[in-house]
This record gives sequence, C-alpha cells and structure tokens, in this order.
Amino acid sequence: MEALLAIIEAGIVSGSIYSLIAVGMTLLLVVADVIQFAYGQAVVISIFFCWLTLHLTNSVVLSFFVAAVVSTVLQFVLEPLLRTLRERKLVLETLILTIAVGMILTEAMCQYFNAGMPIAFPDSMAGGGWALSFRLIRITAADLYVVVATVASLAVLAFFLFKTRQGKTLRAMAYNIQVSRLLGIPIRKCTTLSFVVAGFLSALTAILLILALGAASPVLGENLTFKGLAVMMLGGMGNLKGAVLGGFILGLIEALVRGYLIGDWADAVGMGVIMFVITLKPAGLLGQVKQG
Amino acid sequence: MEQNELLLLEIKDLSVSYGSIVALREVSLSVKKGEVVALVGANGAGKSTMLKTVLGLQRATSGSIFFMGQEITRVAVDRIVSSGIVLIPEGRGIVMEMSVIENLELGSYHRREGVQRRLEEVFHQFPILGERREQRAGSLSGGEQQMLAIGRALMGDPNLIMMDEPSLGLAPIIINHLYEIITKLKDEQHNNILLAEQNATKALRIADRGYVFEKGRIVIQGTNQELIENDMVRQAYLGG
Repeated sequence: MEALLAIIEAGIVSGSIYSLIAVGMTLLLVVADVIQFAYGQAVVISIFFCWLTLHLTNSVVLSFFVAAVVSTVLQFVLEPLLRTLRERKLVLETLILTIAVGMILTEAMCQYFNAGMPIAFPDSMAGGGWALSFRLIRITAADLYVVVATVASLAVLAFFLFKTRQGKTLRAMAYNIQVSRLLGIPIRKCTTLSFVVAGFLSALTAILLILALGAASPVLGENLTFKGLAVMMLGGMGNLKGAVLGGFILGLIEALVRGYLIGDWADAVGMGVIMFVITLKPAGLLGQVKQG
Repeated sequence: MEQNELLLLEIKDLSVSYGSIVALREVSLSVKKGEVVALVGANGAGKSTMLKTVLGLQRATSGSIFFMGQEITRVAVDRIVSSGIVLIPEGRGIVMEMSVIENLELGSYHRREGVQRRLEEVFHQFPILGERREQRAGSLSGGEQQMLAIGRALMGDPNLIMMDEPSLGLAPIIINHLYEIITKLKDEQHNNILLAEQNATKALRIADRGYVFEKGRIVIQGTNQELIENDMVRQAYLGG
C-alpha cells in the first residue's frame, strides 16, 4: 500500500512538470499556430546556463535568476524568427525551423557545457533542502514546491485566460483568428504576448526541474519536447485542460511502471499507452474534432 | 469645402484585384453623416470586397478611401477599427466557443471606457442576449446570433457600422425583425450604416441612398426613392 502511495507521489511530481510543458506548448499552438519543437530544449539549456552561473559565481540566487531569464528570453526571441513564415502560413517550414532550433540548442549543450556530460546540482539546490520520510514514502521539499508551484501557476494562467481582457483576446484568437482580425485585435502584438507567457512557464519549469531532478543532460531537452507533444496528443491537441490531464496521466503511468516493472520500461509503456488511446480516439481524451 | 465635412466616408476610384481577378473597378461612393447607404447587387458583384477593403482586410490596388477626412487606404485593420469603423461580416463572425457576454466584450477592445454601461444598453435593447449572457454563443439561433453581432458592433461605440449580407441564411420572419432593429438603429440612435445586401427590397426601403453593383462597378446610384422607381432596378433586383 505504501509503495503505491510513494509511486503516486512520484507520479504527481513528474506529472506536474509534464503538464507545465504541455500547457506552454499548447498555448503557442493555439494562439501562434506553432508547434514549438524546441520548447524542451529551451527549458533545459537554461538549466545548463544556471549550472554555469553557479560554477562561475557560486550564487544560488543568481543562478536561479539566470535560468529564469534565459528561458523566458529564448522562447520570446523565437517569435520574430518564426513570424514571417507563420504569417505566410508556411506550416511545414515553421515546423522544420523549430526542429532545427531544437537541434542547435541540443548541440550547443553538448559542445559548450561540461564537455557534453550530464550536469548535477549541489544539495542546496536539488531536493530543496529537507525531506519527510514515512517508511517507503519520501516527500522532499522539491516535490512540494513542484506541485504547489504547478497548481498555483495553472490557476494564475486560468485566471489570466478567463478573467482578463488580454487573456480573453488570446482565447478569441485561438478559436477564430479571422474574426479576431476583423474586430481590430492587434494580432502581432497578441501573438508576441503568447510567446512571453510561454516564456514565463518555461522559466518556472526550468527552476522546478532543477529542484526536482538536481541534474540534467543534453538529451533531456528533446526528451521533454517529445513527451510534451505526446501529452498534447493524449489530452487533445490544442486543449489546455487536456494538456494538464494528459501530463498527470503520463506521470502516473511512468511512475507505476518504474515501481512495478523491472527494467527501463517507463518511457516505452508510457508512449505505448498514448498510442493505444490515440488509436481508439484520435482526437485525444478531451479533444473534439473541429467542425467545418 | 463644407461638403467634405459632412462626408463620413469617401471612396474615390477604388480598384481591388485578387491576383488576376478584378473585384472592384474604379468605384467611387460616399456616406454622409447620419445616412444609411445600401449597396445592392448580385452575389460576387463586389459589395463584400468593398466593405472588406474599407476595413483594411483587403488591400486596395489603386484609389483612395477617406474616413472623417483622414486617408485610411492602406492603414492596418486595428487602427481602422479603433478610429470607429466596425464590420459585421457575412455569416455574423461570432466566436462560437465563447459566451454571449465574452463576445460582446470583444467588441469593446478599442473602446475601454464605459464597457459596463454599454453592456447594459445592449442587454436593454436585446433582452434575449441578457437572458443568455453566460451561454455559449454557438447555442444561439441564427437570428439571435445576428443580434449578438449587432450588439458587439455597438459595444465599439462606432462611427460607422458596415453590415455584409445581414439577412443571409435567416428566415423571413427573422429578417423582418432584423430590419426593425436596423431601422431603430437609424431612427433612434442615429447610427451611420453602410449595408451590403442581395435582398434589395429590404435594403432600399430603409436606406437613404443606394448604389447598384454589377461585376465590380457601380451601374446606378441615387436616393432610395430614385432606385425603387428605376425600371432597370425594379426588374433586375426588386422582382419587377
């Protein structure tokens, strides 16, 4: 019984991270019409910059600050890069560009930080400082921070999207860009805003990853992007609630597999389950096929 | 010239092409303050293109458009809307997934003062919208969506309301109700309206002046009385 609780706890923590990533990517998809194949890499390279800052300055606060800033700026800087292609509705080209950026970022992590080896953070940053243990169940401070921060930021995002004028404008753009243009909504400015919001989510994700994992490797970026996409498909492409639901489901599945199966089956089973669901319901769990 | 000050909208020799297709050929028309002007003509005659070009959704190939004395010919859509022109497009252009009240709020994007007051005014004028304010706009009937579209246009406190085929897809009873509303907008609220309609009978009855479009050109223009009495117009557009 406790083993199950410990597993569920782990699943909720990793599910939180997956949710944040999927929500950030979904936002960019519905408002800017972009599948950001470099999303996870942008998050992880900022973790690498954090590690570098720590080694250069020994300041934990400054390092976290650098992680946040690099992450936000990277997401935001990609907007003008993609703008010309997007406005000409060159979907394939936009896709290729984001894949290319992702590869460049991964390569940069391999070449310029720690000779391509995984990095690790000291205990003062990883784990958050303290932990509660009760037999098999171990809750670290980081676990708590991750879950609380995720819930809080999702609540803030929901408030922004449903209760503020700017947020409602972004939703209108996601539903019907033609009508939005006709109403005189400044499409370019609002698209930039969505990249900025994705940037903030990215920054939060980077910091939470440092706390939760305490380590990173160059391939983690691609891994996260890929899982983010899989979660989006599971929940329904373009569906924010679906992204959150899907993120937690994947987190729980992976935790269950890690807990009960010997061998490294977590990723495979996770993806397998998602494939299975998509086959039965291509639109995803909460997705609806758009009419017309 | 004093005449120019009364001209709300002035269009001079406007031409618009979509690639090799010429949609408008050197069209000139005007809307004076306090007027309702009707654009009539068959489907594809260029009325829609006219309205879209005024709003900035379509780029003019040549010619010029003046609104309240300022040239708006190649100005961006958001600036044109914020200067007080709204378009109710063909098919209403409602965001189906958002609620009635959210749709109305979108109309006030460029007019942020007095939103609550204008909402109350719209709900007073269209009680059904007030009753259904939290409902998904997609659940409204065609006629109700048309009222929502008009309400949204009013939320922008516009100087000029342009309507593209408002009666399209509506049952005759609803169309009658719609035109009662448009008449009220004209008589009680003194809105300036530029109306593109295939239903020439309805449009010419409430308009002050009209222009008849054929194949991208204006073939006849005049007061509504002149047009109604014109034999050619009667035969082609008013059922003889």
